[in-house]
Amino acid sequence: MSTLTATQQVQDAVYALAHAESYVYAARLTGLYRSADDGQTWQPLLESFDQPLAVTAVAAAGSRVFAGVNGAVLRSEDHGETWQTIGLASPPPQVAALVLSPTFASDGMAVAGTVEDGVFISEDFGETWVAWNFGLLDKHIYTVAVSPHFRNDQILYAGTESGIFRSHNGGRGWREVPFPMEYAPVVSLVISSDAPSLLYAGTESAGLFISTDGGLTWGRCPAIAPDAAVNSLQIEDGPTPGLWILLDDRLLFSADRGQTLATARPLPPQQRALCFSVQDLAIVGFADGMITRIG
Amino acid sequence: MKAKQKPGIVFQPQVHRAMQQGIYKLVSAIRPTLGPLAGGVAIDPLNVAEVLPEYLDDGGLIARRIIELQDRDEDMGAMLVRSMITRHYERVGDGTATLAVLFEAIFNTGIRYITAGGNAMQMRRYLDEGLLLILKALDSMVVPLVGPSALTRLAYSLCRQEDMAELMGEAFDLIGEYGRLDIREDYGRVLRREYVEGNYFHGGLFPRIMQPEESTARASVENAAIFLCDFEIDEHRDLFPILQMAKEANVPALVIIARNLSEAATSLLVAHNRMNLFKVMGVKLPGLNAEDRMGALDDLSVLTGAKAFVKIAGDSWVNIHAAQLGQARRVWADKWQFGMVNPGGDPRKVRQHVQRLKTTYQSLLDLEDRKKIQERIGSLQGGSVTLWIGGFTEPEINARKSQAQRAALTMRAAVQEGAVPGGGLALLKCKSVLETRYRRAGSVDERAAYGCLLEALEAPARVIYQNAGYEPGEVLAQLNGKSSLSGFDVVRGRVVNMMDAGILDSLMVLKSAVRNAVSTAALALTIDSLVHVAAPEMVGKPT
Repeated sequence: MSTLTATQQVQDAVYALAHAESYVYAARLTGLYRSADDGQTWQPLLESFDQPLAVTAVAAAGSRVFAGVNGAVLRSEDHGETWQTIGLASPPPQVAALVLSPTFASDGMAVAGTVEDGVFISEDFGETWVAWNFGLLDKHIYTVAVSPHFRNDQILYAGTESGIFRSHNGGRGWREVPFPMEYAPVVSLVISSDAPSLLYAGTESAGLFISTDGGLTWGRCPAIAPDAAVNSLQIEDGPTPGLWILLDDRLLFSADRGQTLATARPLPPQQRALCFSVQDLAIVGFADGMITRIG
Repeated sequence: MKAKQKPGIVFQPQVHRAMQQGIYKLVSAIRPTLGPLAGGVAIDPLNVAEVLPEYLDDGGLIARRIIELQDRDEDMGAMLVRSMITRHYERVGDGTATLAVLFEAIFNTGIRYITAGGNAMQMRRYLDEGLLLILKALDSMVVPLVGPSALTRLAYSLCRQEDMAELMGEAFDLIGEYGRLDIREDYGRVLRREYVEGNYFHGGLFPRIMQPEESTARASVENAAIFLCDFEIDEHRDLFPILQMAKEANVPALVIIARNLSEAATSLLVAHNRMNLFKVMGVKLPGLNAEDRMGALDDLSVLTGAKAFVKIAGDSWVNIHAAQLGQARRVWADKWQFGMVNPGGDPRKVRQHVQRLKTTYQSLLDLEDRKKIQERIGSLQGGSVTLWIGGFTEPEINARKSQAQRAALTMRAAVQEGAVPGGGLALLKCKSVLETRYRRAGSVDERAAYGCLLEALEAPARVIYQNAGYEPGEVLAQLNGKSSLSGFDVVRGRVVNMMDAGILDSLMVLKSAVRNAVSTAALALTIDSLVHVAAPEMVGKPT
């Protein structure tokens, strides 16, 4: 079985990263990869498929792994050793985002955002997926955020080509969020784990926005340039809680809700995806296929 | 009949007496319909072929059926109320019994004061002042309705049927204030609901062009290009430029939305579909009149990104190019309607278009006009719910359907503006605001006006209790000293927290009823004489 080193560059791109238990997963143009050593080496997982599959989204919880490909979601229950393909709809949608409920182990709730076809929801651990797009006026989904208290509030947000939509019923019905349309598309979204009405929205080319009232009003984060691309956002709950912001060329950390920022490390440009390993190492994926670990 | 009546003028005290009598008669016909344990009204059928009287439990419809009272003076009082109720009914659709009862209470108390020498014009001024206080107090009680359980509770308080309430609560939680809910009769005995994916419109397949699948009775195409026009395409050669361009653009499928396709045009498309080329589907442009069709063209154009070719604008598609076609991921159609799943219009433009329609909706007063705009918004939002109403007999199905339609109307209003405690409690709670003004009144007229309003605010609750077989005085005494949300649930026969029990009223409906009742009563109190005019002679006899 072939492996890649952490910084080895291949002709592809990293679209998403996820980690669960002791594994880190990377969704890449050339397929899905898994690392068991905090991103030092990577092992391809979809070699059993006849043709190489471009994986555009990945999510994992426990031993279950989900990978978004064109027209389907791939599901594995054994850390990616074996796979099952679950078709979404016809014509085949392109999955852009995959997220799992914080209580996925008990509720089996997963959400797939697609590039043209809105949101698909699964409530049975990914066995079946149903399109739920009531009120979703913009079906170009780039990112989906699940409330940390999803079990109680059933709140989801979807970042789209024209702004943000909110669902209060587990993704079955959607309402517009008054996010200024001129700053869209919204490509990254994250909800604070300690204050559920605190929401961060990263745009493709208009910086970072913060809402403290569940999306009713928005303010620009002054510390981020107004033309910056905010590719990924992560909330850190560990010993130093804060917000990680992945721009095109820098990884930033804020411990005070975006008011002041510290640069974790300057990096080459074209950063795309971010996740944290079990050892709290930041793992960054790039548009040219490179993956870097930041200690 | 009025046509035979002679002209005349009627003065006081006959004016007040007769108007009061007329108002009493009309309101008495509607009063039994107020509350969850209300009765209905049987109406003599207008159609001689009908044997059974018409059964109604809707104040607005009952008022509509009362066309004339025999006594001319009483008739003027009754028609004043009728016009107020029907206007309210057309704009809001519910709350007519509350409106009638409120109006009568204000009018009767006001008449007592004016007969004793009070000034009607001064009183009118204070009534208008009091109205503002009531509206403000109602606003302060509003609670937003979020989540299926709150909506189900509201639905139950409106229709008193658990199965219907559950389905309606679920439906409104999904579709929201503008979403599309179709209520249709079903052959089954139970209620059921159906979710329709995507944006759908009334306008079915043109026959023969594409055969629907047998299992679903629907035809569908994927990744379709959309040609949109309001033309009646008569000549088959008119389709050549479209088909040629679609072939050159290599489209996977083509959907032609037009007002009509002639037999010749249809035949061309039938022949085309037999060839091994892209498939063509033809569907009818929605809308029964020019205005509706223009609305549909607008909506479909924004939704799909297609250029709309409009006949009246002199458009021609001789030089059509691919960029003028719209896109949709999937289009389906059956005999009556067609739908689009994930149409390809610019989402920013779609949202702006929907926002414009919402602004128009807010500015419209007529219920039918609002309904049309709401349906357009619902179609654009995508996703709709169809509620199929079944029952054992046809009258039962009709009665349940009309109940569901009324409940849906009120729920939509409640989702838009929120809800207040129902069962007459919200109006009872407004009394505390007026009592302060009543005690501090600087003039007799002011005191009389606030006295009128205080009495009137109790009237709906009293009628609800009375209709359910309770003694209103005793029930009101039970509520004394209870918390602000405690009201009397006439179904269970005990004091409950009205919000928890789901006994709610739509704020918009209630405010509209109060506004109409107070302003019309204030005006009616200033009427001092009645003038009867002779009906003009008919020119010629109807044949």
